[in-house]
Amino acid sequence: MTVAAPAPRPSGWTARMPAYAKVTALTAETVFTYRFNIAFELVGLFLQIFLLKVVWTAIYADRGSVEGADLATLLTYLTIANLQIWVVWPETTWLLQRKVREGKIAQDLARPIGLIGQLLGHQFGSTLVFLPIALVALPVAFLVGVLGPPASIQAGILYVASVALAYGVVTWIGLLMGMIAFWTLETSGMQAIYRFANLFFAGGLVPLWLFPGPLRAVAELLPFQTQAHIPVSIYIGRIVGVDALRGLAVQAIWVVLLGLLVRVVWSRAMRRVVIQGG
Amino acid sequence: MTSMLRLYVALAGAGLRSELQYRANFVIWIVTGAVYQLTGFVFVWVVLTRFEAIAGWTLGEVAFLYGLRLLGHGAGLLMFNRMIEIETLVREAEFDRFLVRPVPTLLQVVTRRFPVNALGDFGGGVVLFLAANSLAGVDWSPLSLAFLVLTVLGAALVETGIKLAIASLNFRFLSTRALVRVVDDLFSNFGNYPMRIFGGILQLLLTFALPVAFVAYLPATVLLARTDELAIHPAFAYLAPLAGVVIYGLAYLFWRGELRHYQSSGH
Repeated sequence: MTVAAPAPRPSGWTARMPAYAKVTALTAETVFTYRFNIAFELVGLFLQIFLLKVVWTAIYADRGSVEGADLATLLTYLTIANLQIWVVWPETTWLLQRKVREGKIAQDLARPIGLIGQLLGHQFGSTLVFLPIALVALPVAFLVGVLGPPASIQAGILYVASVALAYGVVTWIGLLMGMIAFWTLETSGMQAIYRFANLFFAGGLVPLWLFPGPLRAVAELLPFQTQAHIPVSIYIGRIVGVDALRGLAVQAIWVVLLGLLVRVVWSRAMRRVVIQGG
Repeated sequence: MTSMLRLYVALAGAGLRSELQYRANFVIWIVTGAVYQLTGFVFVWVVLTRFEAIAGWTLGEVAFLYGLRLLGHGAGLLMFNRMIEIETLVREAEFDRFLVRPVPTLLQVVTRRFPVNALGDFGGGVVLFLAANSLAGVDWSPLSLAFLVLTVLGAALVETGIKLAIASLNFRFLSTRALVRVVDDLFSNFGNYPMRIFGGILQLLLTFALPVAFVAYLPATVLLARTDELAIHPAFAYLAPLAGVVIYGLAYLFWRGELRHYQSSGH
């Protein structure tokens, strides 16, 4: 196919801001048209939280506290972890895969803002829709699960910072998984595996402090704990002070590492695109 | 009946051969199916290494229940998985061509493509069930083995009967995907646990409103000699495999009735 010469790119990040903002707004609109799907996704999420509550209540039976956490603390952890994993989700993987598969990537590469920038705009746009929905859903989450306020004002502030870093990790992972499509054309299987591995190792089913030793060690080497376990542990006051800062540092390291990996994989992927088009 | 079976085998075989053209994806989908089902079990395993029991059920017993459900679920998927595509087929009016061919409509739909990920579901079920069986220490006899086989077949029919009933709604409503997902979630999340933990009302709902209990929990109480914990009459547990026949039969009648409302939208 013939691709028109790329329009000259506006120079400088600030000059491109309106374009990014437009991508973000358009995505938000698109995502909103799928609101019925989102509603049923929420039903699934609430079922999951409710099931966790029932099962964990049966497991705790009449034990007061296990590993320093009573049932209410554990359920708050799981409720927030599941909500957060749902809100902070990579929305770019399937999009990039579709673009690569259907060859739409050629047009997108010729657009005046870079493809990565377009994808980031898409990610923010999706989040702009999901975040308010999650806030509206909080009362329901309170009913089906257990929710409590953060352990302290300080914990609340650190939690927000920690979620922001978690968002960074998720965004990079989403892009990396989408880029797999340049080699395999198909990422749905990988995405499904990511969904389950992430749910489990981020602490969405069992808090990490209840993992058996070796499994705990594995969980701490993986990036998934940065997506729920660290922020939520800060929220419930299970990690405080220096430990909380150390948690944030671990998250920041993952943001940087994965960001570098995105750059490397992206430049290789771009070379592949040329091969496919030739 | 036998000619029907021959047709099924021939069509399903063709579907399998076409899937085998994409080997890498074939393997990935099997792994995905297994991973999906086993994540839930890893949860149970991690929990029970700490807590010994859930509502009096040991790790071995919960694993047995879990494995039993997976066998039924996997068997159902293997036989009828493609039902989920009915929605798209109806909406895009591709369904037309199934109506004009000299093979039963539903048979063509369910054999259209081979459900590769179901091999993972079923395989995961076999592995888990065999491992759990030695832990749970079930006393097998020819009678209980026969009950097991009937249970798996019955469970496959319960799940697919419900899916068929929902799929039938497509002829009037054109969109049921979300409903399918919620019902699927209910079966695969709530069917794996000893239902005592859900308390009276929810347990009754999961038995008679949506027949989740008939898939694995009720038959498992028979095989594990735990029927005395049931809130309902034990006869329901012993006759659980029959539920599949009844539910699938009703669903098929419903399908036949609704099929008349197909409008070939877009033509």
